[in-house]
Amino acid sequence: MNILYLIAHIGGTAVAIATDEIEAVVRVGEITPAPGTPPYVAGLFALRSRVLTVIDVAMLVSGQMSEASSTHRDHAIICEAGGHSYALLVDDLEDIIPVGDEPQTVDRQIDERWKPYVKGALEQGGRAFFIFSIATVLERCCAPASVV
Amino acid sequence: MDDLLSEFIAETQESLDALTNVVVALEADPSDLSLLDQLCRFFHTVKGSCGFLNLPRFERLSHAAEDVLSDFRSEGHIPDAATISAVLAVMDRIAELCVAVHAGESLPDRDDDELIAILRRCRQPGMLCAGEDVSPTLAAQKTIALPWPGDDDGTSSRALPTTRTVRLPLRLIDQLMNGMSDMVLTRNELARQLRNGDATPESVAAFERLSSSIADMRDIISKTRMQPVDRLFQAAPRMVRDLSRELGKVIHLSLDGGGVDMDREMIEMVVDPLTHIVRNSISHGIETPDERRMMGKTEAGLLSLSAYQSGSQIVIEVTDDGRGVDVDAVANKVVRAGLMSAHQMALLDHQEKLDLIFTPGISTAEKVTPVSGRGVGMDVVRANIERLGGTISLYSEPGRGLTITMRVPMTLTIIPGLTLRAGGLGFAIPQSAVIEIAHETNPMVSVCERDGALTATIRDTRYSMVNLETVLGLPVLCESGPRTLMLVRSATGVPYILGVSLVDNHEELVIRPAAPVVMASGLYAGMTLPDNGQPMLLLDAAGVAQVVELPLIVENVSAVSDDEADRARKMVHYQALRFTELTGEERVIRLSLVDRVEKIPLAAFSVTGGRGHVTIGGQSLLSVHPVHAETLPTGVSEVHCIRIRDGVVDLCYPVRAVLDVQDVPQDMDRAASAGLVAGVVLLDGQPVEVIDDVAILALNPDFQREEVPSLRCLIADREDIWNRQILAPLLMQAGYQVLWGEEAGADTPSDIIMITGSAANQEDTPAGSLPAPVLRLRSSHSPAHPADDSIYRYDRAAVLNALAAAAGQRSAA
Repeated sequence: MNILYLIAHIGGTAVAIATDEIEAVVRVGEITPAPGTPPYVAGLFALRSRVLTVIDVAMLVSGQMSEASSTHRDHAIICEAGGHSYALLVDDLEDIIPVGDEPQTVDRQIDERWKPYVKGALEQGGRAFFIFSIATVLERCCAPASVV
Repeated sequence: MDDLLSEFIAETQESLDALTNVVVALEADPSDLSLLDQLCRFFHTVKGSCGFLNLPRFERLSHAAEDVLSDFRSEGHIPDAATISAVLAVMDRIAELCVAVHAGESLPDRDDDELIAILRRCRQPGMLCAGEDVSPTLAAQKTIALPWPGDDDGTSSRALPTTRTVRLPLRLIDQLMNGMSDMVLTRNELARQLRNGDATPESVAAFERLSSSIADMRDIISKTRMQPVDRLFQAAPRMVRDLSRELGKVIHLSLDGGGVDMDREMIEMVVDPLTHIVRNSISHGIETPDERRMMGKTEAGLLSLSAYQSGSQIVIEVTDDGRGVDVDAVANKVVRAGLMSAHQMALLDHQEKLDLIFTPGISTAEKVTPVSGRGVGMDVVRANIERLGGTISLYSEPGRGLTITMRVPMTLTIIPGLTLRAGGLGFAIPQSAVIEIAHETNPMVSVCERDGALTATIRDTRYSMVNLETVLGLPVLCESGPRTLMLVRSATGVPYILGVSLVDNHEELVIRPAAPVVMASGLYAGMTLPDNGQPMLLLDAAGVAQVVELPLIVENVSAVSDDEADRARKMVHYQALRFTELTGEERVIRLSLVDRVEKIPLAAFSVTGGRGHVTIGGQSLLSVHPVHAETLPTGVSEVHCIRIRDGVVDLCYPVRAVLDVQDVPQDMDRAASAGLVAGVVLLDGQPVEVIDDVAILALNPDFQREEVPSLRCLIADREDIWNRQILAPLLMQAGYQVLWGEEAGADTPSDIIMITGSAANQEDTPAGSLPAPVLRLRSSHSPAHPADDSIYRYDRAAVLNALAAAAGQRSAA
């Protein structure tokens, strides 16, 4: 039974995201900033008539401006939680790949800050990916007090 | 009342359906107390509602059932099967009655007493109903008590309510609303594209149809959230009945819902303030029958609740024909509580004083009754209404009644809002949060910064101020026009000033909730997507003040009242002449005192005994300040003088320069009377001293002599040096005639006798035996004992007041 994963780049790292966590992938246009909110909230973006809250995932994970986050990024993953829609900004998107194997446990040393978001590891075509959990990102956005 | 009745029936039937399962579950697990609670609540609700709907059979049945169940509950006993059967039988009977009432038919004439008796028998734990005893009866009851819904004895034709309802979770309706606004926005987008591209007439026509059906749909969906306003008044009849009995009053209640619909949530939020107002009317407003008869009113008071629609607002009025608000009592309370000075109070008109009833902690109730006066006052009512984006106002006719008008928006999801810009970004703010908007350059407005904290004064009121850019950490951009100051409401009701680049526009905004991560900032109340497709955040004015911990100040009168009346209020100003003193300070003097400004040669000034004089045209006038040539810049040969005249007084006020004529607020920013200065006002952000009108006129030696009626003061002890050297000159200077005790002899007529020295605080001088009123002057600062009515002898003002009072009495006599 194949599971589909989207390979995305977050904060310079290529990660795999299970497609059942993803509603859509879009290019975001102009973002309305939301001053006064945590720095990882990039602002608001209107997708047709929906208003999405744009989250800079790299900044949420690392807690600081990454090199990548200073460059212009317009790829975002759309998902929903608690009745609100979010657009998660990523550096780049590659492809969707089917993976037949069970996810492996993480055997490599990983950054403490990444740990909560990593739910396993994959190997595909000779490359290794972390499985990145969108649910964890959304949890943090729905209960912002725990992050701030 | 018909609406209320049908709603009651519908609700009861719904609850009955749901509760059947609860009873069954209770039977399965009789120890589950939460199920028992649910049942009790149901019977309690039915009992409460049918009291004023005049449904005695409902009331008796539900009352009996509640009694029995709550006994079980409080004693911790577990209801047995027979009890549960009995309860079910009562529920069935209620269902049966519902159908009959709804169909408007006479109630099935069956014996409720039997059911109740069975119930009551279950009540004694010792006498748990033996199944054999009751069951046959119950079984019989059950078969006949189940005509609803599928019975065929003729009741089926009238079985169900004609308007059928389903209950929906509010969330589903919200989703519908959101879907709807999505459609509206998509339509707008489509309209733009059609305008830009080359649309065929066919597609334009199709678009028009789509447009109009979307508009219809939007109306219908908005209505799903709406309920008749009558619902708001549902609890009123019962409350009026109970309270009026308790207080021994007779009250006719009239309700008029006006067929208006209102957002369900809004209704729920208005219920509490309305209840409070109705309670106040009954307990404080409407008098007892006796009092009313004495005042020539009908014995029964009239209380009317009405609602009607006005634009996008619902107006709810509560009118009674009671005694109205005792405005002076309210004013006194505010003054006594130290919230305003008597001086400030004197400047308020009737309506403004009335609005003081919204001051926190002020209640007109003289004593706490079980009903009102428990410290939760009209301030809370107003805060609640304002939180909904509404307003509240009072109209009182003393002795005739009081009308309280609440205006609330029909719905919370579409609100009138203002869009504004700050730091290059766009924001929205609910219009209801904004009291006033002014440009920074408005002459009525001045901004001043002290220790990094901003304050802004609009007319005569100073508020705390913060720039939105500062709150949000945005740069303050240089805009072409002046910045805009918005006077907005905070959570406490004390308004503050929010500075922004500019206020753009006024539009109806569809508000949607923002993501929790955005709401957590505390600055925003939601977000909106205007027609241009750029999302906008909706500012929460109260939240902004809390987040930046703005010290909320309002200096002077408006501290206790920021209502609309305030804005419309004519600020009391007077025209004043602003000038620079010889010594350099800036001061203002009331223009009406000024006769003219002229230049007088330096040589005309002279100084005698420390007082300045000026000789003009052979006449010597008092100069307010002595003019010393050596203190003036060299080469000056003439001095600017303000000539002050009020018919009697003629003074010359030498100044360095006359600056301007300005409007000066009557209310001083700091009243601090010292010499010629009455206090300080802020003009153009600068503190300027105000000349005390009375003090300056009093300078003229002729002035007091004109005013003082003659009074013969008899001073008892001539030997006393203080009497001779201090008191007598003071009296003479004040224009009174001085007589000495020994010389005058006991029978010389005098108007007042002044007793000084050690005799003053001795009670043994029998006041009654003397031929005139006595004024005792004591040499100690504080009174010797509580009953001591003497005056401290150096309290010049008090002494002169006492003499003036005596003079007044004499001339009146």
